[in-house]
Amino acid sequence: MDAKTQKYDRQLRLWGSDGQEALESAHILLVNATAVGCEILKNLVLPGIGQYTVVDQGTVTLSDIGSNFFLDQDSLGKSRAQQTCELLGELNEDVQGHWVAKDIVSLLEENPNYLSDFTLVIATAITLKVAEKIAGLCWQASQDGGNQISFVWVKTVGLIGAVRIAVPEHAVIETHPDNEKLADLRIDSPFPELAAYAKSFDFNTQDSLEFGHIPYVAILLKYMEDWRAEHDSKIPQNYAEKNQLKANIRSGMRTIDDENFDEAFNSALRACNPTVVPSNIKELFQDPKCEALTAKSTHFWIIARAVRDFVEDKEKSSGFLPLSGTIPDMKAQTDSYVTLQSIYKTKAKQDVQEVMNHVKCLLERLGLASDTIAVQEVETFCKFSAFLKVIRYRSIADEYLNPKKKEIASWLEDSYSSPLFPQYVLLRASDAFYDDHGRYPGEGENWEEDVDQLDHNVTTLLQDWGITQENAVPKDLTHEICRYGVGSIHNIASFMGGVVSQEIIKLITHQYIPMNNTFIFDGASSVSNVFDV
Amino acid sequence: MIKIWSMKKDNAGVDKKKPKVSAAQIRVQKDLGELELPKTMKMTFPVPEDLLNFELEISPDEAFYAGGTFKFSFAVNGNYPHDPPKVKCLQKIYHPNIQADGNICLNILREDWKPVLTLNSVMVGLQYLLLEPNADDPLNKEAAEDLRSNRRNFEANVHKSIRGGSVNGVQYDNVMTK
Amino acid sequence: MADMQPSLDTEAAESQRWAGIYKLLDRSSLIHPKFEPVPEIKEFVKSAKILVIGAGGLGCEILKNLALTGFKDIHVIDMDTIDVSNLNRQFLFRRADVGSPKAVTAAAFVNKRVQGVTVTPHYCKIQDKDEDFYREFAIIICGLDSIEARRWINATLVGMVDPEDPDTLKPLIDGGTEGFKGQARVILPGMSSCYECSMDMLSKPTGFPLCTIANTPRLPEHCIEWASVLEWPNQHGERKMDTDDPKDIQWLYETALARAKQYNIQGVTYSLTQGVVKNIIPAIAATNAIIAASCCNEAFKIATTSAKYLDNYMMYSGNDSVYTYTFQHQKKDDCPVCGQSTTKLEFRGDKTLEELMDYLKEKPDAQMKKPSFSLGGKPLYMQAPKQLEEALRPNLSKPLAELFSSGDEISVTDSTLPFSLQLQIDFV
Repeated sequence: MDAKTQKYDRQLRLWGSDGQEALESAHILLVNATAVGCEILKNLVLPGIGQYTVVDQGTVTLSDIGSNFFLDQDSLGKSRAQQTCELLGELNEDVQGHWVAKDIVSLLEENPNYLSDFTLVIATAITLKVAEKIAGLCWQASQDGGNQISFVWVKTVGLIGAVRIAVPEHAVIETHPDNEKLADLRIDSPFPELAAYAKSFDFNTQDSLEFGHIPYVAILLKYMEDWRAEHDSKIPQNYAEKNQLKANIRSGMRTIDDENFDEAFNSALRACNPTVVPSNIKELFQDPKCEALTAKSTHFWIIARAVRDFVEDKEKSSGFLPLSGTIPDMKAQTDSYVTLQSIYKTKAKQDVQEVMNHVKCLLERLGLASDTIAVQEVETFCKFSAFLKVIRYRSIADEYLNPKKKEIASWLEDSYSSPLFPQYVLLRASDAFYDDHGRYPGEGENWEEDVDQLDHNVTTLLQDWGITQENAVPKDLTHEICRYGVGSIHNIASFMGGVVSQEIIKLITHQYIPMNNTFIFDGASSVSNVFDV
Repeated sequence: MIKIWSMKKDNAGVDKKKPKVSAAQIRVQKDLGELELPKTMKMTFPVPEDLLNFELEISPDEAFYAGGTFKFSFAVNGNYPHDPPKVKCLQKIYHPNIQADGNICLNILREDWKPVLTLNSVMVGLQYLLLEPNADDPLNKEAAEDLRSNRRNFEANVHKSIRGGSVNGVQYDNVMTK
Repeated sequence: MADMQPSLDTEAAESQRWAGIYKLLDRSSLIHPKFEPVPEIKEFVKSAKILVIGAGGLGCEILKNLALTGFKDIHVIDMDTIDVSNLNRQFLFRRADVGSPKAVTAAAFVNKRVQGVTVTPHYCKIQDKDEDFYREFAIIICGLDSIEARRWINATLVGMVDPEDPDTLKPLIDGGTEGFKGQARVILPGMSSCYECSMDMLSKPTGFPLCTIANTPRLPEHCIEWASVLEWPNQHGERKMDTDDPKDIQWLYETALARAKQYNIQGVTYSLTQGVVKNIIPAIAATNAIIAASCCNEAFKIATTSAKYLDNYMMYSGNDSVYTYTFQHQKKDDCPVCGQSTTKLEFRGDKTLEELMDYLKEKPDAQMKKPSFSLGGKPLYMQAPKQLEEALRPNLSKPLAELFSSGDEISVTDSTLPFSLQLQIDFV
């Protein structure tokens, strides 16, 4: 094991070398070296993000060092961008850090393309106006056909933390479903090699050792085959029939020690679910991006289209997705298990080859080189094809210009499943308060005087959304926000630093599923919520 | 909760040191104290103060292994009953589910252990293994093969082996009850 | 240089430095009406002793968070030394620190970075410390990966509670992570559900049947277990495997690989071998940050009463979106740790153990059937098995004063008790 593999061992077990490579080629921009911003970067520098840049024109104050671990007494009065960049850089010698002691707005005025160097932009402690500007630029860059730039806007206010993600489209192949779900056994529709395998076991003549080691997949196949022979080729249709199949299996046991029959019995219900293309994957196939490929289409959509073409070629696919090729462990002799495993693997490989042929046709049609997409990429895609995920985030402009009034009303009504929506309203109202007063609620000494003003901003917002519900945002909570006075509390900064860095890792590695689109944590009640606003 | 402003230390009542008792120890005390051993079982405690390490002798009065006395060691760790006790056979015996080096293939000693099980469950399991050896999940493959292919022959092999004879070229310990 | 630095100790500097936190502590709340913003709270934060157990992934975060919350007297205990695979998340350590004690290195780093804080390291096992040590602390925060250590500290803190002295109640805040998931919880020993109450929530450690390992391996893990469980003792006799020694891992890997080849099994790698024999749990900085911050936020709320603390469990999962579940885990009546009541009993020291036993059998609110007794884990009298009963029977006729001293606690088990009874006997 080389030194890098040793250092990253505990994370490679989650996202593998592909995920690691994606991290190492990413460049992250942090706007403002706040406590939460530096905590996010800490959690990205440690696992080995490629590069980061800190943009901040401020100098270090006492309250900065009180809540930011990447500043110390020696930093007082110096550039905040420089100081945090250096102390963060000490965390990992493989990571490159940069800093710019300027204000992001003037940087963008100097160079409107400034953001195009980055994979992802994290913005903290910015006003709504600046957020809208950066978010707009990131969104536009993606629309113009350049690299997608994810925008991540983070707020911490006293015991409350919030993060909003905006990226036009995020596609995930490796969603990491449970291993159990990944197994696609095709008991209801065995391919010829699998059917032949099941027939190779003679349930009548085997001695007790052999009988007790017939793999449960073969048991299920046999009992399903017997069932179909008696039921017009249909698999069990309803609860009663499924139970009858289970009873048939149970009655085939020779002794209660035949664990393989137990395994078959326990998997029988699942085996009765007909193999189909899941509805969300069908939707994906109907997506305009899958319909109308162009030379600029991403690999994801080209392969998705190839899989769709494969599924439509019923002779090759029987109308099913490519086989995942993995099977669970089961009671069996080594030989019969290894044989079964290789039957599934071989079929999966054949499917990959078929899909690959479609990929090549598509590439040719699009005028792209035939080696544009590697077979490994197609292999991974096929393996997880039942679990693909595409998230289309709403833009921040959309959130503000076209509020989801219906959903907002129900979020405010249902305080059981959306207890933190009032916090969302208050964070929005605080931005409006800033527009009115040039400061955030509760910042000054006479903090309680801000309560009514903030409440006014809340009322205006609710009116705009057509909310008539009384006390939709309790005034006690408005008072609490003023109590916090946008104070930075390290624990909350660190909590949000963890949450946001998890989300960023998911966005960059294209593994696991990021949240869509706003996450709020309330440190007072230790509760969180996700809203697609 | 914490009455923080009354935290001043009151050193008046000097606390006595309590001897430390772990949950594992008490659980073993409970398991053992409520045991009702059949006549075929006997326990010995090499160090009577130590309830966590002991030996169990089983002298089956029927089936293949009748006439022998079989010794097992039990070692209970501090994580009991979350972890199962570690049990080994102390003699070299000819048995489909027991290896020459003392390893035992008994589901509740590994994959099927649950904290609700007790030391008694394990003892019953061991006794069952001596009464009904299981040829289909072997540790000693040859013994299992013998049992499956020819019960008579297996019985003869057991008879020989527990008297210190050899089977398939392997010599076993004499475990006859004295 | 040093004398040119502004002092951080003045009151004005203090309130600037802790501006965010002091807003919370200086201002009243309508959500938490019981909170009184009195100056003693800030003094308490400065003077309270906090103990951090574990200086690993969670521990490093916890130390940082406590220091930046304004706690000044922090202790950390850890018996481990730094390994290169810690560096992807344990951010107080550098490559040059590999091999050094975690507690010492972590404490030195935080002391240097955060002015005014004193982190005191204890490079030892938690079991090396006695109750006098644990009694010193106001709050204890655990960032451990060992179930056994957690059970030990939990049982110790539950055992320390004296209902007549609120100072003996030490809030225990416990965090744990695995991959993108984790949990944080608050345990008020004796009052809320304790660690032992929730043991059944732990996922079962996967052990494979020995006969599968020995005869019908199917998975690469079966081959690795064969190498470590069955082949290692065959080849190395009494020598124990050292899973931190690359040579031993290499041997296991090669042995497992050879077996896998023989059986046509694919997938034995060095990394998998290490993962199986060391029971490695994936760990990343991000998740540690979430859970540690959650623990420290609860510690802050408990210490300051500025907001309600967690009652009593929060789970976090980041695999698919972000999902948290906050709930009250129920205390178990038959919990072997917090369910066992301690009862005080006055009894004559010149009476025999048998007389005590008869008393417990006849006492209307006890009505025991066949009680067994032990003192500090050593048996005094056992009803079974026969061999023990016989060996211990002479104790029955001994006066209690000969068996233990007045005020000692003995453990009583009986089939009528849900678990056990701790009986503190004062001689009269």
